[in-house]
Amino acid sequence: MSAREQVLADVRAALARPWPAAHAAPGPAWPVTREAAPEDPVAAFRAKVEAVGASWHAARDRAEAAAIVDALPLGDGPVWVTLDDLPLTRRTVLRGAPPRDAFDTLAAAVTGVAAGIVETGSLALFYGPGRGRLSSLVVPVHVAVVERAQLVPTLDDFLLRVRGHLGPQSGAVLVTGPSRSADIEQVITVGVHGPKELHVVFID
Amino acid sequence: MSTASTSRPERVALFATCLVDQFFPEVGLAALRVLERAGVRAEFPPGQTCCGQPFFNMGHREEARAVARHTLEVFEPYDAVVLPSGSCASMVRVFAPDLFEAADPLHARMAALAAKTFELSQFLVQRLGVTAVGGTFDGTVAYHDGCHCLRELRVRDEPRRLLAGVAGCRLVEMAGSDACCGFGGTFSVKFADVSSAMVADKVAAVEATGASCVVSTDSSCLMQIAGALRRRGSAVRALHLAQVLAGER
Amino acid sequence: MSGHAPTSHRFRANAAEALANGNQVRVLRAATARSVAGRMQALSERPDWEALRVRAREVKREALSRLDHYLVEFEARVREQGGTVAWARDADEARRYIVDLARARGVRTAVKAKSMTSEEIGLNEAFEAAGVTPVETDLGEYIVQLAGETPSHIILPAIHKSRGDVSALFQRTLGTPPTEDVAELAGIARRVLRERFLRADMGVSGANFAVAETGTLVIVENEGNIRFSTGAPRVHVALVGIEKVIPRLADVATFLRLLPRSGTGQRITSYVNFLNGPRRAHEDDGPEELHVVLLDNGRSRILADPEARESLLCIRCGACLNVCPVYQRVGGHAYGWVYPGPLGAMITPQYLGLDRAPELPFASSLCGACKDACPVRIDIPRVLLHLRQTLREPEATRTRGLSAWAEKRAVALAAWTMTSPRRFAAAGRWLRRALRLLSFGGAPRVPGWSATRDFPAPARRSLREMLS
Repeated sequence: MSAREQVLADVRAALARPWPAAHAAPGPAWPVTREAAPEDPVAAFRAKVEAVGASWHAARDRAEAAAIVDALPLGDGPVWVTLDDLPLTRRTVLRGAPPRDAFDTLAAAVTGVAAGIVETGSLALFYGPGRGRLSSLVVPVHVAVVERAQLVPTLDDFLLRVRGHLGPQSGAVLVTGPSRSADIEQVITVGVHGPKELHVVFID
Repeated sequence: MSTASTSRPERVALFATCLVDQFFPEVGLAALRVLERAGVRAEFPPGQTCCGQPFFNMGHREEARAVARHTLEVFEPYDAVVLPSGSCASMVRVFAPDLFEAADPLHARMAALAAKTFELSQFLVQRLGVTAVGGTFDGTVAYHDGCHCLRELRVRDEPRRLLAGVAGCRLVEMAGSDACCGFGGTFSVKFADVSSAMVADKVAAVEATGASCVVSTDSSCLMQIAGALRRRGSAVRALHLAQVLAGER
Repeated sequence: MSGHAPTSHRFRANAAEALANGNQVRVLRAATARSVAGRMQALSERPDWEALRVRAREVKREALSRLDHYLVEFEARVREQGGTVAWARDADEARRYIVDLARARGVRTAVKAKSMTSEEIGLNEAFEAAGVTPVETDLGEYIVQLAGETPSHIILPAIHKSRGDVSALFQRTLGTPPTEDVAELAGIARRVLRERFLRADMGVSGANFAVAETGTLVIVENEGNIRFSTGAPRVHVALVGIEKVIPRLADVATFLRLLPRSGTGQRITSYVNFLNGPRRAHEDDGPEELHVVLLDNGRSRILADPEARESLLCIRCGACLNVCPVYQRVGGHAYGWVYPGPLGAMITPQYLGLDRAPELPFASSLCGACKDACPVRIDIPRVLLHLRQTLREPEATRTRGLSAWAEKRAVALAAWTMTSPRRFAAAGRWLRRALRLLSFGGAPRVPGWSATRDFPAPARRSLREMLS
């Protein structure tokens, strides 16, 4: 019998014995949790974004967003950009992945998002062509450009959106704030492996 | 289990618990006094022994069942059963019915007994709707939430409301009032060093309130806390809720 | 436990050592207090907290109730997306699969995201024996690995180490200058581990949830080491206990609302990974291969015990550890194996066998704080009581002073006594008399108790004597 057959057989045999009476009764039917939509989703989103130590910048359009990125106090190195139509002028822009031993020279990455989740202040990044896993990870500064139309209220909404994406693509990540650790004396430090800084440039 | 009722139970039994009966009889007397002031003349069925929890917690299910069965026979005839102990009341209410198989008639009988069994403050406040039993007590008290009382019976506000109704009694909430005192039955002896570390923090919390007295619904917790207080030479007293409500001096 | 044999059979001795380490006790008390406060703060934001817990428990129960079905569905989805699914009946099979794969792919270094399951199967040891270098990348796990120790908490593995400890450790093992600055210490680890991530041939992770409907692995983290370990190397191995399967993607929302708040007091972790197979042809990066190893290793046996089955609902959040008055004082190493605290007391005897962890079900006052903290509402005390029924005292705690035989006789005698009021009254009189004799003028000396506490003077008359 293969390991697969054995494990499944053991599971089935185990389940032949019912849950104890005290556990067996199903609980009340529970609808999907929907929070009351906030009156001002942008303000709510901003509050949650800033609460985890990310920086908020408001822009009216892509041109202004580009100007904001240009003005950020970044290091001298190139900026890995995976977002189209962002006319940066003062940076060396990389559009494809640099070789791995050049990662340390990068000053920042600028990406778009698939969605912004108001409930948690999170950015959803869906992996795909030109939008890899490493760009927003290996850099010291991650700049995410978010448009108002990309905001969704809750995690449930995000999961509905990502569902169709998973399968054709290899995955997604929810990013909320910079990388952090509290492993040493529960003192929070940022940028342990991922970016130290997260900037959200919000185009309203 | 619904405990709300507007009718007054006619025949009420005091289930003193083995610990109170043999070691802290003054608590039993105080409980009877308090019930009387609330308009209930409780009886003390002499056939009573123990709820069976010590055996149950040690894993001796058969012994626990035998003792629970005896308890059933003693108390079944009454309309309500009151215990000056959260842990013993939870044994009867929560754990004892499942000592018997669902198909066993004893299971249903035990469940019926469970439904009319109450810890003292639970009985007074939930069952009788009484929050003041008169009496006076001169002093500041810190209240310790016994674990079973709090987490199995969900009795937390009832003792506090009753204490608030005692003239002269000032209740001070202590930090970690719901932290375990470290008794836990044989745990207090088998894991004595951990148990002692737990009660040391409890004693520190009591002393930090400046209260002259620590109060609980459970004599087992009080034995543990008082034992540590006495060893420290502390003047803080340890009284059962019933004693404070009865106006112990 | 890499290279560390379990010491779960000697909890009391371990606990005594832990309690004697005053510094560690202080550090641990402070850390758990902070975690408890953080959790309370975080959950207060959700007025539907209790409803979330009910829902989460239902989802996990549903998953377990049809576990075979959901495992098969999960496997099918993963394979459709180009992933490989391997099944492991036990630790040995899991280790062999992963090591054989590493050999076949010429793996020299494997970066590891935090995975208690990989500790459970002793993967690091197996790697080392096969000439593969395992590198822990979670900061706490990395510290513990450098120190040659085992993690003492499932969420904060190095919770027992002060910054001074870490500085000294880095100085000794990495040759870095001493520093009391936590950010600098973290920066050292970031630099060292950056190299490892980018050069490693294999990344090993666990998973918080394995979604059957979509074949998705959901993994939460704060550092980014899991994004790295699962994203940079060519091969990603996910070692997943079979009980991690949940039915639908939509279910994840409930758990994301509960787990970060319960474990670390956060609204959500910095990163939540959704991994669906290896990289696609048109993608720029990601692993070329994904292998999911579905691990049984005793889980189906726990599943077969209806009273213990709810042990498998656990989502490994760590909340029970933080609120446990025993764990708060003795720390994780006292429990002697991979899983500490109430979780460990509940599952270590079931995984290793009751005879290898006989004290653990009794290492609890049954206070129930863990039960109230558990996001999936596992009634841990109830499971401990169930385990106690199989392994009763005194076998469990191997009483010294009184022989086990004498204690067993005492229990039987006590039960017989308690079923008769006459016997009970007589026994009570005798016991009180004996205690007065043991008093020698002062308080009674009761073994085990009187070392630290006074025992009450026995009442002259019992209540029944007063009332009769």
